[in-house]
Amino acid sequence: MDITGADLVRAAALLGAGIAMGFGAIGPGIGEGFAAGKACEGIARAPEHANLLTRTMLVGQAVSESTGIYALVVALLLIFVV
Amino acid sequence: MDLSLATFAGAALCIGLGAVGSALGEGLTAGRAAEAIARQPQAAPVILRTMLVGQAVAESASIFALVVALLLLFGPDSGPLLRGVALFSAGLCMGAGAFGPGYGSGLPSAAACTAVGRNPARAPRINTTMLVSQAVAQTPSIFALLVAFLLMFRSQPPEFSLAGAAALLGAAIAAGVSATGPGIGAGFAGAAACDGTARRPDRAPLILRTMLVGQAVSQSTSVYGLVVALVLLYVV
Repeated sequence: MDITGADLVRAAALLGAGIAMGFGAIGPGIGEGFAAGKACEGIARAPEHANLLTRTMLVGQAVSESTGIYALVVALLLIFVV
Repeated sequence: MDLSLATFAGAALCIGLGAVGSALGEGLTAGRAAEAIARQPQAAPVILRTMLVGQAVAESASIFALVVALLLLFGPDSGPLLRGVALFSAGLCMGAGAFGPGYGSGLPSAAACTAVGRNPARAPRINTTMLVSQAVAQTPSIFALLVAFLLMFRSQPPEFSLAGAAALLGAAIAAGVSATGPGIGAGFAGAAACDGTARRPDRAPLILRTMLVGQAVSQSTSVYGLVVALVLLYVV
């Protein structure tokens, strides 16, 4: 079996896509969980501000989600473009 | 060719990595239950029940890892090289995928033990919140189990290709490692919800709703991981 440079690049791109998405998902998952947990704490303490807390939680989670989406974009680029 | 090296290494990684998270989560739960019983000895039976139910759910991720490890140990011992890569990847996927959900489902049950100790009359409501949040925290491990089964039971082409092997390993890493974050994150949200339910039982539905919305957003990255894994398995 002979392996050319192009085979090597393709293999590295596919493995890299898996690594990008796998490790890229850790941070957003934990970070968004923190935000959700603090929002639950806040609602238990001040239920009258539930709407404001939920809105703040969702905005914060959306920002924290961005790195997960970067990982997804990089993974899809590695699979379909490289 | 002989695939024993791939299946044995895969099984070892699977149960070795997969046992860590559940054990941590269950130990945390037991510690919190002991604290709660020390503070409120008359509520011991209720706290003990919450602890055991919570630990049983946290255990399920490592049971998935045990099932995959046993299937690998008593599975096929010969086949093409690519099949060996797929079997090793299945073990890696389930092992890595069991860590986060196992530890993450231990967090709500630990918080629920403290909460039940503080407010034993509200145990049913706290247990409901705990079980719902644990179920959400377990979903990434089910994605990892799905990908592990796809890797194990799909037939592989007889000729080896480097890109094919990289796609199998990449799918395992994408689905397995990406389960860590959402599993632990959903556990944080669930723990805070159990604590809040004990403090303000009248607001339990509102707290449960916020928890579920927050957990759903935090699960999205594990769905991305599953999508990338399925693309690597079926599209590439």
